[in-house]
Amino acid sequence: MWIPIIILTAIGIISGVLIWVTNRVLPPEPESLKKAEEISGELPGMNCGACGYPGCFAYGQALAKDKNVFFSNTCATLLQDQKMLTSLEKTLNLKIDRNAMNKKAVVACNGNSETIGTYLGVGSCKSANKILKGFKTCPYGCLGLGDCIKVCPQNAITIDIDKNVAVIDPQKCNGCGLCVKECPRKIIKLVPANAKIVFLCSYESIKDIPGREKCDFGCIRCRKCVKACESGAITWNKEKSIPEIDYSKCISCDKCIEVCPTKVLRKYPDFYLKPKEKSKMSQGRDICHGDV
Amino acid sequence: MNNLLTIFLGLVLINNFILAKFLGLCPFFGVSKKLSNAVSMGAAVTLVMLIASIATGIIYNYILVPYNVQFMNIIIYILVIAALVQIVEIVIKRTNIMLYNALGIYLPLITTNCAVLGITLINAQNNYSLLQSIVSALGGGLGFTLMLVIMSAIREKNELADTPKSMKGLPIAFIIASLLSLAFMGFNGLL
Amino acid sequence: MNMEELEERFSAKKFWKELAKGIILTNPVFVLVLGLCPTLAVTTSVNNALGMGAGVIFVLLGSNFIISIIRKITPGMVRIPVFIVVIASFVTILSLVFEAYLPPLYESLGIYLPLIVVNCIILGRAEVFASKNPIIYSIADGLGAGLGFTIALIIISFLREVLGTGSLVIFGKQLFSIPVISTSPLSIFIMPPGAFIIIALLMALFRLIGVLKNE
Repeated sequence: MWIPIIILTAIGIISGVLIWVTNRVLPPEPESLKKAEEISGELPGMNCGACGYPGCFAYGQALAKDKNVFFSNTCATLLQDQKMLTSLEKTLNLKIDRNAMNKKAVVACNGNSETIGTYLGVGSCKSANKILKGFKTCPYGCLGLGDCIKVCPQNAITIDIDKNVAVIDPQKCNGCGLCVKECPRKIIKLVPANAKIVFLCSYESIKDIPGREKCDFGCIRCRKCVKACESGAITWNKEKSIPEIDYSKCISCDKCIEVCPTKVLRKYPDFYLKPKEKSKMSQGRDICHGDV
Repeated sequence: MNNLLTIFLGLVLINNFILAKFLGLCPFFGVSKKLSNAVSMGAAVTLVMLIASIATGIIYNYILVPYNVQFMNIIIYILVIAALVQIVEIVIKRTNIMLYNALGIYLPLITTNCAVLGITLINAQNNYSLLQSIVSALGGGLGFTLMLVIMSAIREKNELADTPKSMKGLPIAFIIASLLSLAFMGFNGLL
Repeated sequence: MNMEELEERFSAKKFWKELAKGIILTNPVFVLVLGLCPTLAVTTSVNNALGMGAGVIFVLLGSNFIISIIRKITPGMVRIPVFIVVIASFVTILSLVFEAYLPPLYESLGIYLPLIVVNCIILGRAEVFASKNPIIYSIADGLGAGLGFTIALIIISFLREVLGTGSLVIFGKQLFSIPVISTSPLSIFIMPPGAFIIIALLMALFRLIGVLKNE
């Protein structure tokens, strides 16, 4: 009867001693790893990958090596949480300018672009974009198949069925930029969180492809906004043929919004012309089938 | 020699841990979303399986059998595996950070992985010698890694496919596993 | 002592709530997708499923009971090892009992019986519930999770056995047999691929019900 008890106890003790011995014999943890562990304790631990590193721990290691990584690869989730941000600031001995870093993503497309045919392929923007550069007349229009919805860790993106365009809720968005990387047409832009206006068109090329011109709802290059702007925040980019907005100069007079004939310049964050009912918004890409 | 080959091939192809024995399914469906993760996880599981098999092989053959207390194998194996995983984690962390980055996050998952305890129990059940235990651990680990890699490659493609809403994610992964299992049944006549 | 009494005063309503939660709302197999290995491996016949379910319920009750008792004297650092040792002891008891009194069942469950130790359901319930709650509710929780698991096993094994052999045999007694299937059984369903197909379809069904309910 005693043998099982003795064996079990002995093996338990041997295991414990072995762990203790390995712990003592091996060189102590490298200093960088210890610091990385300390830092990753301060990180959100969501492992979303938005910062560009494979997980919060890898990000912590990068931060331990060079704290300026925070500026090039910012953790957006952290930026939203003042408490966590302050504690990280203390650990890293870093000064973070909160307002300048805070960003929001906006889908720069007004929607309603005409389709050039019926698309019945795989329901993802990436696939659709590979066939004849997408099924929309405008090669820069939102395809509305919702690749961005899938990557958004905040569930901030919905598809507006009326206009067939993805819409990002400014309240929920934390500016992580995952959707920016995901969009195959590169039409999701990051704007400062305190921006007062947004420009909802991405048509950049001045060399029009016949049959693939910009749609009636996009910027028509009338340059009224540049003339109307009192503070000089809006300048005309000749190369891309679009207005460029310097958000720091904008005084939020809304003059440009009034003069814009196609309403591509909108007030932010409430950039909807009329607030949509919730039932009309859908959380999935399944609604896009059949009638795209 | 022939015997060892039979054990090895049997565990890689015919009695595959995932498809035929259903061991280690939780990490299988959890980690098989990306190919790069699958390789790391497979390597970590194989490593722990190998070490656990050696340790439990020694304990089984030289302690449990002589004292006739084989019935205690469950409780002793789980203790030994947990301690070993802890030691492996410490060793990797202190000696090779690159390796720790690749395998580290999977190690805690492995402690309570049925594939690792499963291989040691299979060894005990079949009364394998130490060498046979090592070979069977290698076979089991390789079979697990093989399935993880195949599955993750298919699932990466499957992400782009148009799946009905209620089948999306896990259910369709199970269907894929079922088809793979059907395909691997073709190896049944091999040995 | 007073606090202890107050805390452990029995409330029938809460008891049933904890019990029902494990069976339906957080069904370990279909909703939480835990404990997959035994779910797929031992569901070749309803008989095996019943044996496995009973075993898991026994271990869950025992481990939840003990862990709930020692929850206040267990230091946080060695919590998980202690839980595992407690669970492993109960599994050892279970396998000795099965070996002595139900040898055929012990044979057919094979290594999946000792593998109850690493079943995520048991460690999960110990960690999430029993280590924080009084004994009586821990038992209710263990019973609920165990019953939910058993019910899932019975559903899967029923489908597999009936489709795969055309008849239903429980404790050596044939309950019924379906003429067409029993003459040419769809034996794929008692083989591994069938297990994957059945659980995939059941899971999809559960989700479909959830989606339809929400709409």
